[in-house]
Amino acid sequence: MELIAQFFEELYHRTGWNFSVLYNAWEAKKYVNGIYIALELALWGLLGAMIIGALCCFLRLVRFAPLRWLVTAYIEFFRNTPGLAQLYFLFFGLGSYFQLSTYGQNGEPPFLSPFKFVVIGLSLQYGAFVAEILRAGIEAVPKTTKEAAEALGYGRWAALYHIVMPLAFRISLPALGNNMAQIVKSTAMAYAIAVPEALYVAHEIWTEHFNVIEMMNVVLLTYLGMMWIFTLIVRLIERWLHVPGMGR
Amino acid sequence: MKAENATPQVILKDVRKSYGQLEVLKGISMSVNRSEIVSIIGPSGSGKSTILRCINALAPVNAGSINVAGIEVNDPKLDERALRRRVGMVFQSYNLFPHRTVLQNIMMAPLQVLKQNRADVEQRARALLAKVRLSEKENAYPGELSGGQQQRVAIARSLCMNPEVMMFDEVTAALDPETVKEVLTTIRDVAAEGMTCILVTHEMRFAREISDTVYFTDQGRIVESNNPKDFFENPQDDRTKAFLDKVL
Amino acid sequence: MTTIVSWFDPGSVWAILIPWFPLMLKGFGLNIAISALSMLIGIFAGAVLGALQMSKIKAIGAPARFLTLFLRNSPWLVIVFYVMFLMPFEMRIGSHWISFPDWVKAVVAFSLPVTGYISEIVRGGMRSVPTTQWEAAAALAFGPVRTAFSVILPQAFRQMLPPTMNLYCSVAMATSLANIVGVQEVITVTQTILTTETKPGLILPAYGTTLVLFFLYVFPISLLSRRLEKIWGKGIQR
Repeated sequence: MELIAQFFEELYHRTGWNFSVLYNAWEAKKYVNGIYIALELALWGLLGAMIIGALCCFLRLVRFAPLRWLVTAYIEFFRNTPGLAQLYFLFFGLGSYFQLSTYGQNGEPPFLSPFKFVVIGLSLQYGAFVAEILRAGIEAVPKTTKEAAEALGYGRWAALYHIVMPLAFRISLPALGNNMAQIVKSTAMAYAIAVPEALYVAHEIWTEHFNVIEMMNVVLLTYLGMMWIFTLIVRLIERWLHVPGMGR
Repeated sequence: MKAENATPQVILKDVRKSYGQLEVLKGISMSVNRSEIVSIIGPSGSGKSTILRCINALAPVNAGSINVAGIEVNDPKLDERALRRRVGMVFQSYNLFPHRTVLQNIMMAPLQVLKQNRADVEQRARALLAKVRLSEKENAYPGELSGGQQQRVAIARSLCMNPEVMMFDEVTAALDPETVKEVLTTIRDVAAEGMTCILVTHEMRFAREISDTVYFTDQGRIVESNNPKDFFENPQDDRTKAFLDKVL
Repeated sequence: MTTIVSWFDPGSVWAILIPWFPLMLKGFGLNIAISALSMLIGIFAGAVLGALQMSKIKAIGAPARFLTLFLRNSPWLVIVFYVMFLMPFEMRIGSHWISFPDWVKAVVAFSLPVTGYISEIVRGGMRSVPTTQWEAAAALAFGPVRTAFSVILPQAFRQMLPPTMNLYCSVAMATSLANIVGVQEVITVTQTILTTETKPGLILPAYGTTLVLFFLYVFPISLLSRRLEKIWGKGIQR
């Protein structure tokens, strides 16, 4: 660690390339914390999206039509509007209307922090995508497989639980993994409401040192690194759930 | 020939079935006795498979009545589970559940649908696997087996429900010529144990060898039925003659 | 416009907001312009990059694949920042100075990830046509270029159009990110309106309106793409 710091400090003095975040301990700590917050946003968002997606997918199978329409409306709306506009609507719009994001009259902290708003925003946006992916997975289970389950005496929900869902989940896995990677990228929009994640911290640093080029490259590499880690995790899950001979 | 004191186990009376405008079954009546082996042959699109699907209520009928071992299939309050544990069905496309091993495939329905004791089911499943000569494959996944092996597992899976009637829907149609024989041998074993069997098949030689009665269907009607010897050597109806000329 | 406003109580939020609609629509027009231009650039660049990806020469194929992956995996917002800060605001070509306003930089920024995604769509589309089709064409004495244009591409096109339309939907939505760097697109316009009016009750309907604008534009395209996928998916046996 010492050596790296020395190298980059040396680099700055000799060439003017200022990777301040790599030798300035205080900035490094702040930036690492930014990465940590970005990862946290991604993980909580992912969890929320999976829960909302699964719930919607389930509600869409219910026979009560108005409920299905409502869920479909939610899914279509959140899939077809920008995440940033959703976040602004939630944070500035709903947040101020219901006084969730504003300080109280006696200076009480807001009910929901910007961090939580981003988690809610990501969950709602990606929950809609997850719901759609899971539905496509269910539709991809061959009709004949469902029939075989029926012929063995499975009822509608039992077949869904024991046979259709496990198969659909495996079919959906690549698309879900892709979705997971998108969430990591989307955490960057937390910048817009001043959540101190990686991009925001980098911005703070480069306004202080005027080292935009260096910091932009650091940020880019950071996100590529995070994406790489998430892709690896998805691969591991895929391998773990892989069934010999399936899907070919 | 049928024994005089035989009891009818599956009775169809003037069964009619339409898909939209298309009438697929135009009044089918037949009666299958306990331990009888019945083959249904005929050109494709003549409604053979639909008859089987109506018998285990995969396809609801529009008119007429079907009685299976005392259960009225066309009853709106039909207990589908009770019906389907009595009637086993094997499909052309095997339809094993690809995410479960061979042994799990066989044990799933008795455990999850009939809620039977695991030890009993496992013992029965192993015995059935031995009977279809696939004991060494119990931990393989369906995707790792040949078509013929998968079809034998599918037969064992149906048998594990202890059905009273077994239905085979063109079970060799999707198989390589080399593996057809092993599946036919398995069906022969099942029939030899006194199981009531209804087969839809294109294997004329097999139908002749194994059946007690052969039905010929064309355009949603039963054109003629007879014992296999007379049916194949001395067909009465012109349509039967024309069909047999083509396929023999 | 005045008649519509008169439907509402004077002083109600809609009576205040509706006169601003033309300005918001103008802002949204910039979103559409940015998305369309960057899509156009991205399609051309992506087609080239996609073709390079398929190259059998390793020195070409490998870097093309790496670049594709890089462009697809970078967050759009970071790319926007990158271009905004690092691209000069004017450039000298010959004796002329050409200036790049912010929205042009936004076009450049968004065309980069589009290039990456199109490159991948092109590769997937070409791959989706079975190799036997190449062989069949070769057996009929088609040359490789003729085969590509009269046999493979028409088949691959159906495979590529729906994902390309979906990509366009993503680009149209992503143009809202230009707000963060101050481009006068619809959300920025909305924010300006909100600071001008300084009425807290306006915030919710104003942001709601921008959401609805995006939805009305993006949803039909997304529906059409799904339809095409369904129709064409049926016709091709795989």
